[in-house]
Amino acid sequence: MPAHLVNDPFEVVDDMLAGVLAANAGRVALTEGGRGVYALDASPRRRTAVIVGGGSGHEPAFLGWVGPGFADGAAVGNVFASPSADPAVELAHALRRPDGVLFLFGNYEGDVMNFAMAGALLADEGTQTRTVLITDDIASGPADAAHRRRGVAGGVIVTKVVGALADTGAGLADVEAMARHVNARTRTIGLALSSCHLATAPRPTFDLPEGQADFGIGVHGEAGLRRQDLGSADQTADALVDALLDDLGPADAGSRGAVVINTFGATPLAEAFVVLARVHRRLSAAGMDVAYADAGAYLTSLQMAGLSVTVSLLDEETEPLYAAPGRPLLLPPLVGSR
Amino acid sequence: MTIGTSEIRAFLEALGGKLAEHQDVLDSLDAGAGDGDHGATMVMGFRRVQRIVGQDDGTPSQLLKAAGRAFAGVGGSIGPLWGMGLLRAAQVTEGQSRLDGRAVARALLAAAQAAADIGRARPGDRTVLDAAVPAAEAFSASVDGGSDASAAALAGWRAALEGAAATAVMTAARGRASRNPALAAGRVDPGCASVALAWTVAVRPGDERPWLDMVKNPNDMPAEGPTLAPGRPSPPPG
Repeated sequence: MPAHLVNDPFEVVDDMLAGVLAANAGRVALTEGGRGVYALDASPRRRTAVIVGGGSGHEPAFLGWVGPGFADGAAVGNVFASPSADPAVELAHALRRPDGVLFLFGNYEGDVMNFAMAGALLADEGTQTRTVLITDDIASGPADAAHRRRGVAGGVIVTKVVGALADTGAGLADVEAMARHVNARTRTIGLALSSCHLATAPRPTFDLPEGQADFGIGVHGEAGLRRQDLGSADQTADALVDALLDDLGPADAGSRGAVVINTFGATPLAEAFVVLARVHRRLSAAGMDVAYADAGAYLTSLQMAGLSVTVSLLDEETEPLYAAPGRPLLLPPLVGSR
Repeated sequence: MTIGTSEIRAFLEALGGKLAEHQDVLDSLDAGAGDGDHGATMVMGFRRVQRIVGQDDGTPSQLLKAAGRAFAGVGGSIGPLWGMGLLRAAQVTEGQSRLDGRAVARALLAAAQAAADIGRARPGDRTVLDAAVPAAEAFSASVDGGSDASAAALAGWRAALEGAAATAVMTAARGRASRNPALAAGRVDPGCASVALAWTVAVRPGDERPWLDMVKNPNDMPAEGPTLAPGRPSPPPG
């Protein structure tokens, strides 16, 4: 049973935000309800607000994805729980972008409903919003029903590209179209070596015997596709890459791609790089030109052990945006921001 | 019979109290397939509502709108379902100082439709709709058939309890319970239980026995619907 460094476990999110604010004085602010984080140093050219968000427990997601070249703001929920409509509405008010607001978040029912309510409230005031759901987790639905897939670490790539486009002064329709384009070309699959555990819960979220891995795990403990013996880093990387290549199809594998190895919380960076080396070799051997590869914690699942592999296909439109400089609040190196 | 702001205020306050009283029942319904916090979330949501009622409530529409905004702040799934329901009820009653049976029917149907829209769900998916829709439709049909508002309210109450009871044998198609439907089997959907409690507070205040019986033994619901406690007069609303 993991130990926790908390005061009141039900206050952990607000206590965390106090720390984030102290660490970034002058760069970020909170909305009046205390659950909307927004950048004070965004590009003055921005006309469209890009608002991300979701439950806490995934840090540095989603508030760490805020900053120049990334999102304008993040709506912060309780641990593994959607934020209410309020922070998204307050962020739109605080940001006052003339072209309206893009909501960009993972495909989870609670988030979908709360952002939809925020959209309805903003529409009543005359503010235009659009929503793009991140659906990169290939384990959570078949390729022909990709709209049912959940959003996981690939959201950081979508946010990076969309944020760079918004920095050029692009309008809402273009920003929305780019978000859909990148999301459709981004695939992730993950694997857990241990369960996550909430400070407010008596037990771990799921049981996983030692030496076993949950292949296709979600980022809130949602069961994966199968349980398997853990195996070596290379065997694990091979299984993850096989699943991704299967989903991408042979034609897509021949293009330029970006790779993100995302650790879920407890897995050391060294092991992530061990996996990155094999993933890079395997994708290259399959004909992909791996133009960018990064490893680190981009979207965690509390202290779960394991990692995910994200592959995003680039084209002449998206690659310069992905490679553009950025300054996210809290992110490990990602191309363009390192 | 019509209702105005003071009756709606009294209803919201009474419902907040009853949710707190029965929080453990609602939490335990949610413990199988959900995360066991439905009752706690409803109580937190109505605490937010209780903070805004009584201050400058205005028309029924203005009070419903403020309550919807306040409740939605609780987030989760239930925040937008009830929040949008109250907001749409506010929209369709705008400008009216007293609501007659037809206006209440419109508000109930609009609220159920709003929950369906935002939850992208249909009756039968084992969501709040399975109590909210039949109750709104029964109330509306009763008003359309020429019944007075109190007879229509009784019809709505019966339909809410019957609808909630029927969820015990449904398979969840949406919401957290859909991830592992077996864990929810045999229990009343917690969201429906809250809707049925709201109807109880509105129509049969002080008489929660049929609601408790329904929640505890949903499969024993008599074919003719919930029975009223004999000789137990309803206290006047408010």
